[in-house]
Amino acid sequence: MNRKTGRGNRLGLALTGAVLTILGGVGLARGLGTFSTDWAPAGTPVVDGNVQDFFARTSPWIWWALAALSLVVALLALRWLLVQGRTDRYDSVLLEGGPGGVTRVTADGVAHALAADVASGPAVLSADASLAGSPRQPEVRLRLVADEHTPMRAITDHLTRVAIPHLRAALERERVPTVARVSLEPARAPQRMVR
Amino acid sequence: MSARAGTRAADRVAKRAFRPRRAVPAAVVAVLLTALGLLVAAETISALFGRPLRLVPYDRMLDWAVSTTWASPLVLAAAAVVTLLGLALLLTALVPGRPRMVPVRTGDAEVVIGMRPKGFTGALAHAAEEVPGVRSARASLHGGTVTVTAETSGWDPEGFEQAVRNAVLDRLAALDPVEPYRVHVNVKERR
Repeated sequence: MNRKTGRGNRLGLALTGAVLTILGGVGLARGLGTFSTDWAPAGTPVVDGNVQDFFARTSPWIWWALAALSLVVALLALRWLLVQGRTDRYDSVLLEGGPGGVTRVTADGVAHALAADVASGPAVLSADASLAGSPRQPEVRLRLVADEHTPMRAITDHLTRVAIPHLRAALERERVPTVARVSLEPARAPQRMVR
Repeated sequence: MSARAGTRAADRVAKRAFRPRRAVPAAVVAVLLTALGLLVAAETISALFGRPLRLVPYDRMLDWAVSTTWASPLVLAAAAVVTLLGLALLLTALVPGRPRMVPVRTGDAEVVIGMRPKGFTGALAHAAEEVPGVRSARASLHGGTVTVTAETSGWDPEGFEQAVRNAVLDRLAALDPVEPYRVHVNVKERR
């Protein structure tokens, strides 16, 4: 799942929430007699003559419109459901094209090289990388296991000053947004003093 | 942009990156909307072609709606439930939520680093365990507070509390989280 999905989820939830709040709120207000009795009295049935007249007058196109609207809602909701499992996967990254054509590097190769670079840093016990975003605007996802005794500054410095600049140079990009998830662990051979 | 403003911008990006994605409520609402949309479409289209499916007993629903007023308790209760549900969804969408990772200060908005909470609390507990006289320690994270419970051999609660606090604060400073954490220390003596 990527950052776009998170934004989309919040937008979808906010839209659905707003529609439900407005519908429920209007129903509640009408039932409690908040509206003027000339316009929307609380004592009339939920479906009264006016509503039936409206549907009788507008039939059949109102039903076609309703069918179309519900199909659109169903399709949008289905798409929303399917993007939950979306991961950005692609095989190769485009480098700047020259007169001789365009150059592509494989995404796996780039990810492996980056993981090796990151793993060579101080305090990093192991590292795994993958590319996200798109072939034109690659982003990096890193998972690393680090020794909890080393200051985090050593890891961030190695990333921001060595590993990511190498990657930027290799991909010929000014910016390669990176998200790293760090698991802290005690170093593998802990030395315990017997007290 | 000054260095401090750059750091603040990087901190904001880090906090935002690990906000909950709300995948579970989104999936539930998406499934319900898909089902509702398909059901309404199937019913209306089948009725328009003269062969209504009648998966929903809408004749009975229409009878009920014609004979029930807006002021009836059932309609009011249903409207209240719909309103509350809508408000709950709005809150889920708008409240940022606690991040799933502990964001680390990088000073670079293009590089976002987060620590897994388990490793973060583990590192703080291990720091407490390195204090002489502490036999074991646990740490837990609730909101902006880290609670460390240390079992000690020997009875000097104030001395142990201070030593454990210092050790935990030192490790916390080395881990460099974006947000400040309060440290609460409990000391228990074990014979």
